[in-house]
Amino acid sequence: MRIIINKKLTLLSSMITLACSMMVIINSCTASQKISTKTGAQLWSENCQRCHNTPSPSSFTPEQWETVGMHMQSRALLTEVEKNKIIEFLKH
Amino acid sequence: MDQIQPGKEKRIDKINFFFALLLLLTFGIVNKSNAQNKMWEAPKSADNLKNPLAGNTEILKNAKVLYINYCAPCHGTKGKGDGPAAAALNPKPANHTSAMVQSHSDGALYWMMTQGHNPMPAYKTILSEKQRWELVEFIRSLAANKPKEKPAKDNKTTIVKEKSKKVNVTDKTEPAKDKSTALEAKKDTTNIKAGADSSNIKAGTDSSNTEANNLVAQESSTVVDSSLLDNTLEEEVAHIKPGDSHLMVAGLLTFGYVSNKTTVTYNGSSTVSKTNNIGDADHFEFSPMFLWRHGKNFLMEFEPSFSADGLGVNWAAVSYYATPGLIVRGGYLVLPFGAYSKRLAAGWINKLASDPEGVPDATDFAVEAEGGLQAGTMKWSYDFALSNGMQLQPDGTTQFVGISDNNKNKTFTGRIGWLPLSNSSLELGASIMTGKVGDAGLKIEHASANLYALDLNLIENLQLFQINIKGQYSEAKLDHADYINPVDSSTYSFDNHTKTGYIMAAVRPMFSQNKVVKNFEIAARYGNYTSPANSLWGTKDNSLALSLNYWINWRTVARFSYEEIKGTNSVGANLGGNPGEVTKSNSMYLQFCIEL
Repeated sequence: MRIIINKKLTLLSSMITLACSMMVIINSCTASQKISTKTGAQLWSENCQRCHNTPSPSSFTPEQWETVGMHMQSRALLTEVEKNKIIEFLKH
Repeated sequence: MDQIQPGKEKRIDKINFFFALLLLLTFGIVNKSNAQNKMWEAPKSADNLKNPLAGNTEILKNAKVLYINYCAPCHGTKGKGDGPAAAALNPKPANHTSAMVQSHSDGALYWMMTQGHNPMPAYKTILSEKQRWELVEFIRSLAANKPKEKPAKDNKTTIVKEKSKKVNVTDKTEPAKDKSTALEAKKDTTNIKAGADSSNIKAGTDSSNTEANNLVAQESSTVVDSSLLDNTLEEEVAHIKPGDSHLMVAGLLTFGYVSNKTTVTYNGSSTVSKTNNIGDADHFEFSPMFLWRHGKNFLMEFEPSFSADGLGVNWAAVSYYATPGLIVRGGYLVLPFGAYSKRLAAGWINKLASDPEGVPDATDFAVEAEGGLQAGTMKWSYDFALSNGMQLQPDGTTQFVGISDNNKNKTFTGRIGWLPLSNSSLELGASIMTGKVGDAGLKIEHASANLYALDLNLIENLQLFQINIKGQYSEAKLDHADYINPVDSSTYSFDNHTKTGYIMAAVRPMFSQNKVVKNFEIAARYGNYTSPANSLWGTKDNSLALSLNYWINWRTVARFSYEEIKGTNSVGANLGGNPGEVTKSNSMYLQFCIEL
């Protein structure tokens, strides 16, 4: 039983350590910026790649992007502002 | 028991390996020939556009902000064409520091960002003329080889004053990729210098009649900008706006070849079995996804699927976008337990050919409330669902998918996601799933199931590589109960606890300027699955999977994966099991996956 707990704790603590050290590394080189001050292009390049490759704006028509945007807002739980800015960028 | 023939076996493995590698390389070569498109060139006349900010260093600070906001996502903060979105784009974003880009005239650079070039958007309406010229100046400041590429500031001002001289300079620095083009450009320069008369003379002797005439027309008119960049087509279609209702089909197709060798070792003796399949039901999936939007607030989603299970439904839902931070959904939903099932399981999103073993995939009739929220530079998300609930089978197994309501109790599933960094590169999630799961009327009716999961997703764009780390750990605990052995209907019991975890890392090269190299990705995954000991399906599995992926475009991938799963049997001896029996399963996949 103790071995199992130890293994679990090791996995958990290593995940947390990894996450925290990465946070420190990233924060040291990226200036924090609120969503409201970011452009659609920035949000597009940051959010889509969380799960899949960044899509080319030419993949869909503006009307299709409107629909895909709603689908992705639900899947990735983007904020409304993010979704609107990203779709606005992709429509161009 | 089969006799193992090591020589023959090795040969088959080698043939499989070379066959797979050959196919993957074919994809690469075909793709390379597609990627070698014509260079993007601005029309010669764009060279005549006058840069009103030439040599102005005061605007560079402002231009840098513009560059980071609009250009860096693809071209990178240092302009090397290595921004976070660069990996999957085709053609690849240009390296602004390169001699190739720097050889363009200011006017040509301005024309390029104004017009756009698939996949780069046109910035005609997004950025003002002044902002675009500021960016031209900023791109000039990025030149890798400044002293050679760019003349001194004073010199530059002179160039602007004497337009013809400037064009001349530009043409000289242009690499002679195509001799005839370079020659033509030189002739054109001569025309500009010499004026309209000589141009007409040239038009008589040159085959490119119209081009020369156009040049004359532009040279004689002083206003170049608006006439040159006028896009009447864009204006003509500007009144066409998205309708209230829109139906579209996207979807997924995976097709693959798999070769498997399974070795079962028990009490010192081994049994080997092999399979070899081309795109059979287990490795083929066709799932068109229907998205049907009604106005701005309603979306209906439906994904039927043809696979090993025949024709089925992956999920079907209606969503109401109630307020900016709230989406209310109902239907047959993938429940928000962990991040894998709902977001990452699709064949083109998963980086390896197989799913991690044992990840609970719960799909049920449910109502759901979800949304993404911003808190300063951080983001949060919530996703809560109430479903009919998991079903505990009399033998102790839990059913998560395609379930009929077996009791009056409902199951609650919830996930909280936290994105602590402003660039959304890290997400940590915690989920629970809880409910009473036994069949009504049975002894186990009030047995409850409690599951929790932790998930992690990190994507990091380093200078040389793009690194993606994903992981998920979950545990399922069911109340102690008496179960029925379906073999002899006897009663048996065990600690009904299941543990599943995986960690995946994927790397894409960003250091290379080679388009083909940039399209490759290497992924590795370690998995662990422990089902209840002394149950009918008791096992302790460790798996290691490796994959070489080639991205034909952002949503089409050819992958060559290898996976080894080593399982140690823990079925109780009293249930007819062989505790300690070791099963080693080696699989090789060649998979093609396209999201349409």
